[in-house]
Amino acid sequence: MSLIARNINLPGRIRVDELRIEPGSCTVVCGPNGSGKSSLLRVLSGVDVAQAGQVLVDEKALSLLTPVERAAHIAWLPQSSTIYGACTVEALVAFCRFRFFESQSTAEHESVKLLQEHALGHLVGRLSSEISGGELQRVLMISLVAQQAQFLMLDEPANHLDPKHQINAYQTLGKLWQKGHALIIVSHDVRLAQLLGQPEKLQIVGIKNGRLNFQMAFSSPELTSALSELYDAPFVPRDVAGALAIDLGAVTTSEASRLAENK
Amino acid sequence: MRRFAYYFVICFILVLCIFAQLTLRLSVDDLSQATLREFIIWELRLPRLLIALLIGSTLALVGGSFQILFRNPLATPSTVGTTAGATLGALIALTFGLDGALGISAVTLCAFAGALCATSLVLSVATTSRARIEEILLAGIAITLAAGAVSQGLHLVAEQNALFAAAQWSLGQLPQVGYDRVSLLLGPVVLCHLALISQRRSLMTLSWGEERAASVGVNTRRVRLLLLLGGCLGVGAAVALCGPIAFVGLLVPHLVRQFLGEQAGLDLGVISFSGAVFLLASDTLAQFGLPGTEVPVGVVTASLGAPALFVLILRKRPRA
Repeated sequence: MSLIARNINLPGRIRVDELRIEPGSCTVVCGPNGSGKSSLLRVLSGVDVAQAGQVLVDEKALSLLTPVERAAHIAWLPQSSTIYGACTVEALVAFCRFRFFESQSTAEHESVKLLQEHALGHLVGRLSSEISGGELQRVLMISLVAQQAQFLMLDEPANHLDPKHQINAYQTLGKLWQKGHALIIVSHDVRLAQLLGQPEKLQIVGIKNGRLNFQMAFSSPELTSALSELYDAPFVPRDVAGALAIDLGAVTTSEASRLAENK
Repeated sequence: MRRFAYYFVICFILVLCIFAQLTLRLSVDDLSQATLREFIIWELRLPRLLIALLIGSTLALVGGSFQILFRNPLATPSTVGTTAGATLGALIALTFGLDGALGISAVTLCAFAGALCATSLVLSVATTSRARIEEILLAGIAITLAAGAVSQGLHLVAEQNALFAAAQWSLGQLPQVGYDRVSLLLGPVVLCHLALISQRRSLMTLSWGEERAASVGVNTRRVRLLLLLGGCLGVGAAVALCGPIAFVGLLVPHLVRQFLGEQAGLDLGVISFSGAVFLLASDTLAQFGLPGTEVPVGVVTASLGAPALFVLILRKRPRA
């Protein structure tokens, strides 16, 4: 039931020999701007078809599945997701229940229940154009759950959000992971990944110039050096209340100099 | 509840328009003969009223659907070249003095053939596996421009009478026809409505863009083909019979969004119903607005549509 990408080649964009995503796992794909993160996610989700290679889900080639079959396996949230016009929040979530071939009212009823389960019941009845960007992003994340797909793929889910909503978004994703959803998240800011929890299970995939650079657990001691090499920026490990965290070196250096001054 | 409120408001206006269409001026004309009165109502006004309802609902439905499909507020039933093709067909029939067949005029037949030719060219682009929606829009613009250029060329060889008839046709006018024409129009219009309304949920999902819609399970290629084919069939038949009636397909979805709420703009039933009422109201004005003369309904829709669109733009609240 794994998702396997094999010998993927999108000329000039990505070339991946093998990437395996297990059910119930959480993988964060990171890398510098233009490294091919979003392209990889588009191929993994079936939005784009690679010129060579295959993406297999449940041992079947993704490109051979019908859109409804594909939607049963993979839910995808792009970086920006604007709607033409506006609709209520529950109608927006109901769009993601398309594959169930039910009436619009049934779909909206189920969506209201889902929103209430995820503490978003207060947004029911409001128009998508009337709620804040942070609220909309949380609704869009929950809409992926409405699709009841095996793998949830999100492209920079916190890109346009302020720090408070970034934290909120990643905590929401952490809860979805805890509930058993498999997550594949593209992010250029790997520091946010630590908000997902379970660092020993959280997989980090580094990608540079369209090629896989590394794949390791967030708790791996080599992660900071791998990130430093990937981004060409000084990442350092930090100990926050006994748990491992990472940060950019510049911040830590200034903190260290301030600490030295205090001493 | 909100949905019922939409329909209630539109129904109320519809009843008013039907009442006005059927009875206005009858009392002024002092028709004492019951048979003449009945003839005017049942044989002249009712078929025309039905034509107005059918064409108004089709143009608005297709306009609203195309605006969502192309995610473009400027999309109209003419966007994919249907109207330009029909206009060229009508001009060919008039320039070369072609004869009609099966009791249908040559202008109507050629206009319908022109609409189908233009549509099939756009569909040939739409059926290519990786064609993006913007490319279909561009193909439509290219066909519109090409058909327009050929029409201009035909003007050079056409006689003056044919040119005058073509100019009159291009204004758009609801014809005074019998029930046979209504039934002829009914086929394409019903097919168009069935094609578009059966794809309502897919279309609503397409308001999110084709890639997003495909990711939730919509077969975007099949849906866009059905929408284009159904839409162009309805619009082709409407334009062939009445000429291009401006602004109905463009304006009505915007009016619905402005006055009944953004969400109603995704409700094809409300848009179709509103289009029927809008064209009927325009035709009532065209027939009875100026005493002693009838204005082409296309002139009325354009005269109402252009300022209304301008007001809508000015009234539009800034986005938060």
